[in-house]
Amino acid sequence: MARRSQFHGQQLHAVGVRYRLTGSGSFLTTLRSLDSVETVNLDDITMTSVASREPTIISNFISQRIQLQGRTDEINDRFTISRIAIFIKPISESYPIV
Amino acid sequence: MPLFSATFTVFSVTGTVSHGVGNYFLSDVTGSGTVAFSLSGNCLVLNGAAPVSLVNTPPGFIITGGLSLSMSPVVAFGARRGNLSNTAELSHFWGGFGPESIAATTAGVFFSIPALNISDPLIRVPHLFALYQIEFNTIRSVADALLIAQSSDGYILTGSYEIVQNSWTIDPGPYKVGEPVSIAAGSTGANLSDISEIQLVDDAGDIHVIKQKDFAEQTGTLLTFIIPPTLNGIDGDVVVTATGGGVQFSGTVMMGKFEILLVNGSGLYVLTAGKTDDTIYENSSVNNGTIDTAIPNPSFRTGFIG
Repeated sequence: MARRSQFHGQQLHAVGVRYRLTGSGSFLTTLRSLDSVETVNLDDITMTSVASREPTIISNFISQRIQLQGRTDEINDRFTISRIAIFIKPISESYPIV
Repeated sequence: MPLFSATFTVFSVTGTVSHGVGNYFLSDVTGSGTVAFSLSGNCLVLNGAAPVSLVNTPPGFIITGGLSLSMSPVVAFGARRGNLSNTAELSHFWGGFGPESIAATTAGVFFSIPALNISDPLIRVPHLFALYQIEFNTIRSVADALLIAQSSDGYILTGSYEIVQNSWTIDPGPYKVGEPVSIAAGSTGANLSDISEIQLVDDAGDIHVIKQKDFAEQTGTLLTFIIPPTLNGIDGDVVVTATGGGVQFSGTVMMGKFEILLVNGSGLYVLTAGKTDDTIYENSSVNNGTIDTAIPNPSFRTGFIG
């Protein structure tokens, strides 16, 4: 059974994403709302085969539920991710019926 | 004003037509057939320069007028039978440029050279690519053997031309059918927003028209279109011509060329550890190699947070 989220319909503010990431080429990050109604493309990360740092990409994305997408779009780009941290803070309790 | 000449040569002979010395014959009185001519090879002489093929016509080439059709050596284009008498039945003898044709309605030993469609000073350049075709299809009630048409392969079209003084570039590819092709305006500031139609002429002389409403993108500096599926099976150079609305140019202008690569994938998909691209195995008439292509957007998505 999936672990129950600590958030229950609150509005969330994603302020950054941190990766433990190696590879080659550019790594692209997108944050999405439900059904991808709202999306935001974060800064690309230029990957290296070894890395001593875990870079953090700042973001400014607000949605009730947030999904992270990572990808590459060029031939022979490759990535290996061993850790993802998404920095999120609830900013309002719920979304009212308008 | 620069002058050009273009030489037609025999492209194909079909039906019951046979080829004698400088002439074409119907094999029997009820036979029918077609002799088709085209501009192929290094057929085009521009202002006395060395002959070039139509594919290598400079971008901006436009025919401005003064067109006439002749033959070399000068031999009348005609039809006759046997002893050159009794040609009254030879009334269904067709010839013409491009998709249109005319009938030689006046019976006689010789017919005049077909002139329809080449008197228009704004002749569309793609018509030059189309086949000049003669059909022998309804020659009736003739008892003895027939000798049909024309004594020389050397039709020569002459006229005047200009090179439109705007510049643009087309990435020559190669492309596959369905991919976008872009025409970019050059530094001289050609305005591509006035183009109302693109014609793609394949190596068989067939013309594939893309209307303005089907352009993927059109601005003053960029025009993008998708290679239509009608070009499926084409493997080689495709000539691009464009029809302008009178702002930048009128009539039809040669824009350049690009290459279509016919790829017939094997359908096998092999998983190889550590491989970072897809490999297509070609099965074309010109190459049996492989092409490495990008894996389409490898990606992942997390579950929803919240």
